Formats: sequence, C-alpha cells, structure tokens
Amino acid sequence: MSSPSDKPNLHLVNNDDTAQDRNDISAESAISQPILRIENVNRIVDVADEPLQILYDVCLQVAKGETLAIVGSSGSGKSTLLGLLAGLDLPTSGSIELAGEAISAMDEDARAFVRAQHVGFVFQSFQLLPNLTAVENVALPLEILGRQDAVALSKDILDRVGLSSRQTHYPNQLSGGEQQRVAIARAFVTQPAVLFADEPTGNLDKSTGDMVADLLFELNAEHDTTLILVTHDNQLAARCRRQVGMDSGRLSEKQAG
Amino acid sequence: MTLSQQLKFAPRLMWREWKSGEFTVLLLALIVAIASHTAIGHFSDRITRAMATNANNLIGGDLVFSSSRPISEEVTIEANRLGLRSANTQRFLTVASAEDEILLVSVKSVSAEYPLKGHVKVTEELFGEDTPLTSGPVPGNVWVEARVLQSLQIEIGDRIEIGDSNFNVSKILTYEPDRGNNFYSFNPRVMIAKADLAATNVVQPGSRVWYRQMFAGDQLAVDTMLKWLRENAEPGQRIRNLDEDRPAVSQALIKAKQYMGLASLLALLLAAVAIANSGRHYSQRHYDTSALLRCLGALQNDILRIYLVQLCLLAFIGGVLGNIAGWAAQAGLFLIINDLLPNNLPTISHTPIVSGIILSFVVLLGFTLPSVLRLKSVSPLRVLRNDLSPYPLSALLVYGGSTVMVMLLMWFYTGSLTLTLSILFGSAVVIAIAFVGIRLMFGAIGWCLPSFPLKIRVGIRNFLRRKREAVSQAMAFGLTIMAMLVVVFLRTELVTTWQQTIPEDAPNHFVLNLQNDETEPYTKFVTEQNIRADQLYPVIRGRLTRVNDKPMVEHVSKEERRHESLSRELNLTWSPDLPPDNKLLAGEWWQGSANVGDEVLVSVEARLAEKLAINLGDRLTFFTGNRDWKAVVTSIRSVKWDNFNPNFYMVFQPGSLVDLPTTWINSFHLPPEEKKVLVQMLKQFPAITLVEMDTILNQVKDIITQVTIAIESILLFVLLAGFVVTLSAIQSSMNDRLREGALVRTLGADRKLLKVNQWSEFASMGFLSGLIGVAGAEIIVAQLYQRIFELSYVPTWWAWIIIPMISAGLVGLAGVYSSRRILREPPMQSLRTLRA
Ligand SMILES: Nc1ncnc2c1ncn2[C@@H]1O[C@H](COP(=O)(O)OP(=O)(O)OP(=O)(O)O)[C@@H](O)[C@H]1O
Ligand SMILES: [Mg+2]
Repeated sequence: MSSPSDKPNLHLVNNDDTAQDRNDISAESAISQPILRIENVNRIVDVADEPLQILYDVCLQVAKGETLAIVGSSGSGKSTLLGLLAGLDLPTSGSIELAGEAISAMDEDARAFVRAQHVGFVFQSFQLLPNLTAVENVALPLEILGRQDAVALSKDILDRVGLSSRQTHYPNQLSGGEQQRVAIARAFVTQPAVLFADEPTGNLDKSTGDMVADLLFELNAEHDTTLILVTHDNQLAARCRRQVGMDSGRLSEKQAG
Repeated sequence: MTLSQQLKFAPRLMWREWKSGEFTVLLLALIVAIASHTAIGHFSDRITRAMATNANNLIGGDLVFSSSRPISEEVTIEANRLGLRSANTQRFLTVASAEDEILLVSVKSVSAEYPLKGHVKVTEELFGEDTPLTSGPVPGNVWVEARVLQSLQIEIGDRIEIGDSNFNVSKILTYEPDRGNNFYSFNPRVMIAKADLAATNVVQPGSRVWYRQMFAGDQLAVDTMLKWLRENAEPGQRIRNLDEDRPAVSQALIKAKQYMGLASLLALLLAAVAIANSGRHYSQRHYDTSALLRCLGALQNDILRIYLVQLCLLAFIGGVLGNIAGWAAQAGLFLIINDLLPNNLPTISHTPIVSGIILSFVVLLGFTLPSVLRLKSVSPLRVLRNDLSPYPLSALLVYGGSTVMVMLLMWFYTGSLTLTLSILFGSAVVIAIAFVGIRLMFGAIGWCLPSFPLKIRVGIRNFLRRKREAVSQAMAFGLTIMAMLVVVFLRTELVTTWQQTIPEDAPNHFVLNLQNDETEPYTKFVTEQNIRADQLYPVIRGRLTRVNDKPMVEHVSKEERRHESLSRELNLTWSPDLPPDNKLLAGEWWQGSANVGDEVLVSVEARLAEKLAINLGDRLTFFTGNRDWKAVVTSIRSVKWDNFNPNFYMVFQPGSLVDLPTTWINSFHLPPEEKKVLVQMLKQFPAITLVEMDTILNQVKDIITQVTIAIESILLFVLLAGFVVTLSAIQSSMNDRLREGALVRTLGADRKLLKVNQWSEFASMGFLSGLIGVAGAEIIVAQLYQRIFELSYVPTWWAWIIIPMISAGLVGLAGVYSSRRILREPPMQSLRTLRA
C-alpha cells in the first residue's frame, strides 16, 4: 500500500514515487475555483471477504469548463473513479468536492441532491428506461427537479440532437446511436455543471461513435459544461483538452497530444 | 422532490409504463383476486340469504317462540320495539263434527299476519294442483287437510262444527310452512282464523294449548330478540331457530357457507401468489429505473413514495375493475342458473364491494411491498455496474411473509382458526417440499451435467442458475394445484353427502293407522299399483311412566320434566333387526322373537336416554290403554332423524307386545304424476291416515340443488385464479428464458433441441408441483374433514399418480406454448429487445 499522502494542493498525485511531475500540472492551478477536487481517494472493496484495493491515493482537480479524459485499460478502475466523482459511491478514504460541496462527507440523499443540481450522465449502455418514450426519457431529470416546462425543454433539445421525428419512439425502436443521442439530450437538458460520460461510444461502431462524440463536444461547448469522460479510445480521449491515465488504480497525468 | 411533485410524477411515470404493457399481468392478477372475492362474496351472500329465507320459510319465521301457556304481552312489545314483524298461532286438539261423524283434529288458529315467511298451500280439488297463499282463512271459514274430508265424509263447501262455532269448509290445506316433520303423531289439521278462536269456547283455563309466536326481520334485530327471549324464557317455553329445527337443511347451509368461504379464500390465496410473483417481477424490472432515477438525483424517499403512490393507484384501479368484473361474473352466474333459483332473490349488498376495495389494497401492498421496498435501496452505482442488484429477497421470505399475510386474512375472514391452521399447515408442507424437492432436482441435474451433450450444457447451466426462480415457480404451481384439489375434493364429498341426505326416491308419503287385518290387502294394493313401499312398521301407543319403578317426575332432572316425550304417548314399535340408519351404541340386539312370558326387551334412542337418564338394564314402565307393562333396556342406539323414514324412540323385541292394540305405518315414494292413485287407496282403506310430505321434501331438495350449483360455479373462480398464477409465474421468468434461448441458439443449438429442453424443464416442474400440490391438498382436506365437516377421511391414492402426470402435461404445454417466442424469434431480435 502507498504511504499516506500529505502533499497538499496537487491536481493529481499518483503517490508512486515515479510520478513526481507536479510542476507541470500546477500550471492548471491558475484557474481559480476547481469544480471538482479529490484528494487521496482510496477505494477498497471486499471480494469474498478479502479486501481488494481498486483505487490508490488518487488526487485530481478539474477546473470549470475543462474537458478531461480518463483513459486506461479494462479493469483499471476508471468506472469506479467516475462513480466516486459523481457521488454515486463513497470512497473508503479521502475527500471529494464537487461544485464546492464536500460530497464524500454527505449521505446518499444529500449527494443525490447535488447530482440533481449539478451533474449529468452519459453511459456506455445508454441507460434509457425501456418503458418510456424518447421525450419522456429526456424529461425525467427535469421532472425530478420539479420543472414545469420539462416536456417542452425536452422536445427542444431532442430537436437539437436531430431526433425531432423520433420523440415518441421507445428505446427498442431506436438504433444504438440514436439511443445514445437521446441519452446525451437527457444529460444536457438540465444544463449541468459537470457531465460524466463512461465510454459513451463504447457500444457504437466507429462512424456512429464519431457522430455521437461530435454531438457531445458540440453541446459541451455550447453549454460550457465541464466534461469528464472515461474511455479507452485514445482518439476520443485526444479530443479532450486534458488526459489522465489510469493504471491499476493509480492515476497519472498524460502529456497532451 | 416535494410531495406534490411526487404525487404528480408517480402517476405520470405509471401511465407511461402502463402504455408499454408493464402492468398487465400484475393488474390482471389483482383483478382476478378482487373479482373472485367480490363475485364469490356477492354470490354466496345472495345465495345464502335466499337459502336462509327459504329455509326459514320452513319454520315459518326467522325465530319461533313456543310455549304451553299464553305468551306474555311483553314479548310482542319487545318485538315491536325491535321492528320485527310477528305472527302467532294457537294449536290444540279438539273434536270436529259434521252431521253424525266426529274426528279428533288438531286445530290451528292463525293471526292475520300468518304466515310470516313462505306460503300456505291450498287446493280445491282432492290431490289436485295446489296454489300458494300468503294468509290464512278469513273468519268464518276453515281449511282442512284432505283426510278430514275423508273421515268426516264431507266435501268442500260443507259445514263443520268446532266447539260452539260453525264453519264453512272452503279449501283443502296441502302445506303449512311451519309444520314440523314429526308428522305421524299429528292429528289431521284444521286451520281457522284467530278472530274465530274465542267464539268456539274450546280454549278454557287448563286446556292444553301450544302457543307460538313467530318473528321475522333483519338479522340484527332477530339476534337481539333471540338473546332477549333466552334471558326471559320460562320453563316450558322454547326458542327455535333454523339451526335447531332443521338439522339437515341447516347443516347443508352451514357446510355450503364454509365451503364457499374456503373456496374464496383459496382463490384469494392463488391470486395472492400471482400478485406476489408479478410484484417481485415488477420490482426486479424496476431496479434499473430506480438506479437511474437515483443517479439523476432522486432521493431514496422519492423512489419509495413514487412506488407507493403507484401501488396505491394500482390497488384502487384493481379494486374498482375487480369489483366490476366480480359483479358482472355473479350477475352472469345468476342469469345462467336463474331457473333453479327462487324468484325472491335478494339484491346485492355493499359489503363485498367495500371489502373488495380494501382487500385490493391489503393484498397488493401486502404482497408487493417487501419487494418494492427494495427498490429504495438499489445502488445508483448500478448504472455503471449492472450486476449491483440489491441482495434479492429469499423466496422463503417472500412466500413466508405472504403466507403469514394470507393466514391473517383468512383468520380475519373465516373466524375459524382450524380452517386457517389446516391451510397454513398444508401450505407449509407445500413450501417445504418445493424447497427440498427443487434443490434435490437441481442437484441431480447438476450431477448429471457432464453427461449432457455439450451443446445444451450452457442452457442447462443457465437454467440451474435460476434455482431461486424455479423454487418460487414450483411453489406457485404447487399451491395452485393444492388449492384446486382441495376445492374439487371437498365439492365431490359435500355434494355426494347431501344427495345421500335426501335420496331421489326418499319416501314422501306416509300411511298411518293401518289396522292389523288391513296389512295384507294393503300390501297387495301397493304391489298391484307398483308403488315402491318400504317396510311396514307396527305402532303401539304408550306413555312412559316410570323408570325402575320411580315416577318420571322424580326420576328426571328439573329441566327435562316438561320433555315432550313425557307429556304425550310415544309411538312404539318392534323389529327383528336394527332399523336401517340406526347404530347400536351400547348393549346387544336381540336374536329372534320373544316367547310368551319372556321379559320384554327394549332398545332406547340415545339422546332420549340421556335426557331421561335411562341406562342399560333399567326397567321402564309404560302405560297403554288401561294397563301398565314393563320392559328392560337391553340396548341404546342412535337414530338418523333426518332421513325421512319412520323413526322410533323405542324399539321392542318382536313377539313381546302382541297383546297390545297395534296399528301399522308405512312410507313410500310417489312421483307427483302418480298422485291420483291416492284417491283409490283412500277409497279402499278409508280408515287410514295419509300424510303427504312431498312439498316439504321438494323444498329441501331445491335448497340442496342450489347449494350444489353455487359450489360448482365457485370452482370456476378457483380455476381462473390458478390460470393467472401460471401466467404470472411463466411471465416472470420470460426475459431470462428469452435471453438464454437466444444465447443457446447463437451457440448452435437447433430449435428441436431447445424444444426438448423446454419440455423437460416445464414438465419436470409440473410433475414436482403436482406432487407438492397433492401432498398439501391431502393434508388440508384431512384436517378439514375431521375438524370442520366431521366426515371420515380416506386418502385419495389415485391422485398421487394421476395429478402429477396431468400437471406435468399441462404445465409443460402452457410453458412451451408461452415460450414459443423463444423459438420463433430470430435470436438477434431477442437479444436486441432485451438489451434495450
Ligand atoms: N463493488 C465491487 N466489488 C468487487 N469488485 C469491484 C467492485 N467495483 C469494482 N470492482 C473491480 O474493480 C476493478 C475495476 O473496475 P472498474 O469497473 O472501475 O474498471 P474499468 O476501468 O471501468 O474497466 P472497463 O474499461 O472494463 O469498464 C474490476 O476488476 C472490478 O471487477
Ligand atoms: Mg468501466
């Protein structure tokens, strides 16, 4: 196990002694208020009564409006980290701050509230509700927020993603790319501060994937959203301004390009 | 989300899912549960009320108070206060005369309200068609039984004298609703109006008169009156209601009610299984939804409230639709069997409607809440890791909890702990066997796995993984089969028992007062006329005066001093053999006839013996005509009083009573179209007394027919509920099966192989369920027979073989049929639909 980290104010520290390149990344600290700040996060789960450490002393800061790709091989812990960042799960130790709120110290309902306010999601497996039409799926997060204009807003954004003619279709009547576009519409409809995307193109072929990625980045630019994207597709990762690598639960900054 | 947002969001979400067919099976199960509950509720409520009315007609009121002294004003006042209708009659023996002829008759004077229930039937032609009337004779007129005309040699329109009054004989009385079935001790009946009673001057202080007051009204008032009468009755006054007066009929009614209650409970149990099943399925299908909603920021409480609101809405809709369906079903049922029912059928009452709605909530929430509550604890992380299901409730917990729930319902419903516990025990066995049985079966299959062809091993392994699902399915099927078997077993048993109560050819006519020298010509007459007459019994009249030389008044307890058998002459008989339907309880039956000078031996009916404290070996003293004679009690026997045959308290050894005045009695069955033969019989044997019982018997038979129909139609609901269970059980595993089917097919299994797989899976499931069901049913039925219906129980061995086979066939068929999509759809399409 790594030694306890007491290095303050690092955007990213892999406590591996090999990665002592903090000077490079401190350039980013010029940005005043990080939207996301995590420090020394460890995640240990019990598998068959044996502790299994998935994340090791992960530190990361993400500035508002930044686009960040987390890349790494399968099983390296990317989704686990994403879940923690989005407040879907709690770290075993360490702190996570999202939009100025210390979500790692919150209970589940408080985190849910933060999610509703600030967070959008896009998943590899789309996660559309099969019994709801496209527009109903998009309206869901607005309805959870109790917005009266849910349906109208949803229709607008479905127009924006090019699905105005498929509004009343059920997910199983849509192709994978179309489903993911619905999911992207759903993610942006609440104008979230941070958007988390886990392998958004993982289930799609190359050209469809490219189209979905285009859409994702376009909307991201339009809404000035902070985008945190998990992928093992280097090409997709390269479209982000910043990339970090995940390797067996340890995070390391990658040089752009 | 605020509460009002939740209240708006929940139905919206529900409506969206509804459009896509998500709720169909759950709602269907709920509707069947509520429909069968309300239909059976309405049905049994209306039928039992109708039957009770009919049966009460037999005693002339809901409640009858009889007394040997005039009934005090207070009784009438109390009845009026309670809003009960009442009528009264006075009955006494006196002499009626017409010209030279005189006859000892039983006069009954009736008040203007008589009869309270049912009809008096009269005719104007001897043995002609009779018409029902709802009042007694108008003052100045009498109605008489046919045998009065015979004996007094008069016709309709002639006049007779009773006491100081003179009456016009206006009609022949064929039926009184309140006439007891202790018929052959009756003298012929003459009915007069109460207004005429005083003028006859027959009733004087000290004369023996039986007063009767009958009451009718709503149940509550009747019950209150019953209580009041019990508290205020004096010795010698008797309160009668249906239960005491008509054991055969009221037994049939009670058993029918119990049966209906049981059947509706079983239908409920089945529907509950279906609801629990599809409820579990429903919540499993909503794991993803909940995870996503949570991920999008919904709180745990939001999720809980959303689903609670949905369940309540669903319960309400199910309650209303179920009520409508139930109402329609019973209406249809009544339409079908209309001809068999009395035309005074009561309308529906609101109780089943209200209880149906309440039940809908109780059942739906009770059976789905445990699994829906889990939705709250679905981790939002599930959106990233699909395997993160909340730890599934064990089948034991779901079904155990549901069973407890059903039991509470049952107990509440029936108020019978025995019934409830028998079913609980049967269900427990079903669940235990299902648990162990399935595990063994799975173990065996797993053990044989290496010897299966490689191609289907994947499929089988998948199937083995569905152990939990399989256990609950086998339980569901097992419970279904159990419930249906219980209902079928009991139906068969009850119906046969009832039909035996009054066989088709039960004697419906009785001939009394046949003289010694007439027995031979009489026997010849009935043979010639092809009348199927039973055994002739001798009748000797005698009053029991002493036991072991102690006068009866001293011998018996205070309460029994006024016992009917002491105040009048008994009908005594002799017989070489124990009469049919009698059972020897103590002592020995005699061999052959007695010789002159032998001790007189007598067998005493058990209940009378108990009341009068008569034991084996006691010496009884009887008084006949003008002399005392003695007999020794050598046996005690029980008598089936309701078999409509001549029955006797005292039976003597043949040959011992030869020197006492003897008449003979006989009974026979006569179909209505042959009744004219009676005119001839009376012509040839003018001295006999003929009693017609056919009207009463027909009425009792009608009641039994109605009850039988009611019971058969209730079977229908149970079957329907069973069908829904099957549907829900198969539906709940459909997705898994589709996925597996598609997978195995992609891996190269052909459809024939898949079909074989499906068949063997469903058929073995069906076989096992059949076994489980038979075991449970046998246990329940055995308990019910012994504890509730008081019948002796014989295990139905054939069921153990036949039912599992049938069940294997049916479940196999149903399963394969409803899984045909797996074979029909291209695997790609299945996988695609499932993925979305
Ligand atoms: N709750 C858990 N219980 C047990 N093991 C877990 C749990 N969460 C994650 N893991 C394990 O931790 C490792 C990392 O998982 P994670 O899903 O984060 O990987 P990933 O980088 O997203 O991989 P992929 O690119 O395949 O999605 C995996 O081996 C996974 O099995
Ligand atoms: Mg992942």
